[in-house]
Amino acid sequence: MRQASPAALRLSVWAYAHLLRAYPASFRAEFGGEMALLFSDCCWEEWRSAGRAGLCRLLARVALDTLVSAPPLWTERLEETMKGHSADRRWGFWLADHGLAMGGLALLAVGAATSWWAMSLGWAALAIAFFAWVAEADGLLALPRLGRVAIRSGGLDIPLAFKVRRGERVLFFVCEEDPERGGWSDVYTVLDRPKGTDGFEPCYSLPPAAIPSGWSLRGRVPVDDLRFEHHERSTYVTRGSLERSLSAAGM
Amino acid sequence: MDSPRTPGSFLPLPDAELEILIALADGESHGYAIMRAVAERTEGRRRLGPGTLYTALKRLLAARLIEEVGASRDAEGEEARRRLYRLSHFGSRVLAAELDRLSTLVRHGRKRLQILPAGGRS
Repeated sequence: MRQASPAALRLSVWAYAHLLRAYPASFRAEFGGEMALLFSDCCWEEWRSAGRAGLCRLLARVALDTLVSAPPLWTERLEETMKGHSADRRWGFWLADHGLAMGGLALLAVGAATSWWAMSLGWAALAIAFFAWVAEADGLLALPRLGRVAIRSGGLDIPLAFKVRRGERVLFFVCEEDPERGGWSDVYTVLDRPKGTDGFEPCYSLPPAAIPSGWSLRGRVPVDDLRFEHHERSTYVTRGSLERSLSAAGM
Repeated sequence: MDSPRTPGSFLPLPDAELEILIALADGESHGYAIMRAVAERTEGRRRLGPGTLYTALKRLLAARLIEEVGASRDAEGEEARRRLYRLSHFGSRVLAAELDRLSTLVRHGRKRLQILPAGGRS
């Protein structure tokens, strides 16, 4: 059984319990208790072998570990949010799109009061956000946006055909002509092929009359199930709607 | 239908995940024991922090390379709050594939070093 903890040790455990707030709530709920227990064990070990100095080293190491391990979990959390409720999704997308500029402004404000490095980081973030916006407005590139996949839409609100990568596969969505309605079908035919294989690239403006060589038929997805977003000259399909429509179609 | 899961699709494994899988190759273990095993095996050069350890465990659980097998018991036989993890069958195959990949890399690296001209090493 453990003896009563020294004050320094109790203080370290208390500090770590607060540091755990850097992780998303869902992660804390699943692993927070165990992490706190593990940290407490490490504290005892350091206390016995090196006393206060050991505890300080442990705290510094664990703070650095938190700085490195928490941000990827928040990124995952943001992605999850964007797949969920539409209001959350809108907020999530807005945050993801403006995070760099907002972060830059926040750093400028902090930097003005505290230190020059925060000012420099703030200016750098604003400059990157500005040039990225200019490059996108000029059509030079489609910016990577969290939770969305850039596609070539041919300038249409609802693209007639587009290609996306999914894991090790490339999926090709194409609308077919509907002679009865005298227009385009409201269903995408989905073809796929392994990533990195050579083969015929399907035409973007017209649906293929037959399945081209190298591609295989995966199924059909209603056009209305997919959510498209248009930014400057780039079009995106939301990853959430893509995954939901593919799983609803059994793909 | 999704493509079948193959060990190769998980390679290369990130360092922390490889260390954890190696630690679990000895049998089921809890977080603190895994951390100690990694530190002992690397003679203290590699210390997994709680954040790195549990984010890696979360990823390995999600990928079903490891499984949770209940909670450990303390000296009095009472159930402690430590969860026990073990390598899944598929996890063993992924670990074996990663070790094969690394040994091939080492073998080729050593071979290349031997054929370098004298003074070629920096």
